[in-house]
Amino acid sequence: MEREVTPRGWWAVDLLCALLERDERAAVCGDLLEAQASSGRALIEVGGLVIRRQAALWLGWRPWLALFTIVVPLGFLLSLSSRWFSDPIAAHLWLYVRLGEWRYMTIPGWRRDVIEAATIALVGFAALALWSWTAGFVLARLSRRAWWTLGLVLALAIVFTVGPVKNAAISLTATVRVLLVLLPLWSGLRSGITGKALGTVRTITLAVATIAVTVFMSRALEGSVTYGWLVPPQPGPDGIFGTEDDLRPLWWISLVIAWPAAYAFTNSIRGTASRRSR
Amino acid sequence: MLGEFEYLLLTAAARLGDEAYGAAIREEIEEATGAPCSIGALYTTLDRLEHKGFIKTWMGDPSPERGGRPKRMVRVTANGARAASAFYDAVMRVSRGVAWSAK
Repeated sequence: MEREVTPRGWWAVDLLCALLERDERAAVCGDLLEAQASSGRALIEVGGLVIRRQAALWLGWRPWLALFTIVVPLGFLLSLSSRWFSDPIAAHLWLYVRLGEWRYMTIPGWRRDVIEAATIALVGFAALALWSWTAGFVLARLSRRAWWTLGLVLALAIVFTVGPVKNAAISLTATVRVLLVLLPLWSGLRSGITGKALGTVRTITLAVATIAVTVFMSRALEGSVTYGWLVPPQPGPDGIFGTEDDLRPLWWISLVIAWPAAYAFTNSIRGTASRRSR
Repeated sequence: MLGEFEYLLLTAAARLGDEAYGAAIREEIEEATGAPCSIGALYTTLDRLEHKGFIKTWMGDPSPERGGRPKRMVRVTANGARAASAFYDAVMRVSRGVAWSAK
């Protein structure tokens, strides 16, 4: 196979061409090179084709399904949760750094508080990363050809739906959103568009981990929607399932944010079953 | 009935015969119309015509002047020829007795 050669200054054209299907990418770039188009002209031409292709996809149902089942609800929930998980954790961190000393760790009450805060922080951050990764993975699977427009809309929804706390002494929202939401989202999208099965062990681990952190953080998730604060998990089943005087009417939000993990799991099981039946 | 751009594309491909591919068809259309032909319009129309069964396309061989990239070859089918002919006849019929002067 002849090696493809790209002229200098065409890096932006190559980047844009990556949004086209493989054969079309080769044919279009080849046509532009043959016509000795400048990189600017090539960018306009390829951009026009990319826009037409994406617009045509939206005449089908798949991108709309992905938009209303993932982008809108998860964009909203991930934006809220990333802000309301990270800023209270940042406030705790600020307090411990400003007021704490290492010798306080010998005090059982202080030690318990630090361990509890650290556990909630780690589980909360793990939850954000898992929710984001599964959302990206399923988004790419539901609408493989429109993945990048949907991914971009989801990323913008996460960043702009709810902003970070203004004038806070310390805010982790931007850092958490980049490292624990947008990067896992990108990784999930890239895994989803390859079309390859995740593997049984990996899928089960992912599903179990996502469900576990979702159960643990369900109250915090509801708290970020209602109170705008990280409500820590309560001990016992009442903390998860609610009580007579605290019915937790928003319990279903946890299902909304965890459904991509369930989809990824069933998708993988179906893929394994069909491979075994061949 | 074919669209005007579809007719231009089919006719250019028919004229080029075995040498019909994306860049060549684009050049033919630009020469005939005196206006630029966008890659976006060309390739989406190729897809539409192929979907209607008026052309067949396949990936050809790469070449150095294309940076080692293959061409998308085009061949007009019998259905495509009939559609283009019907469009041509319709244009000729409706144009009877009308003379457009070049401005």
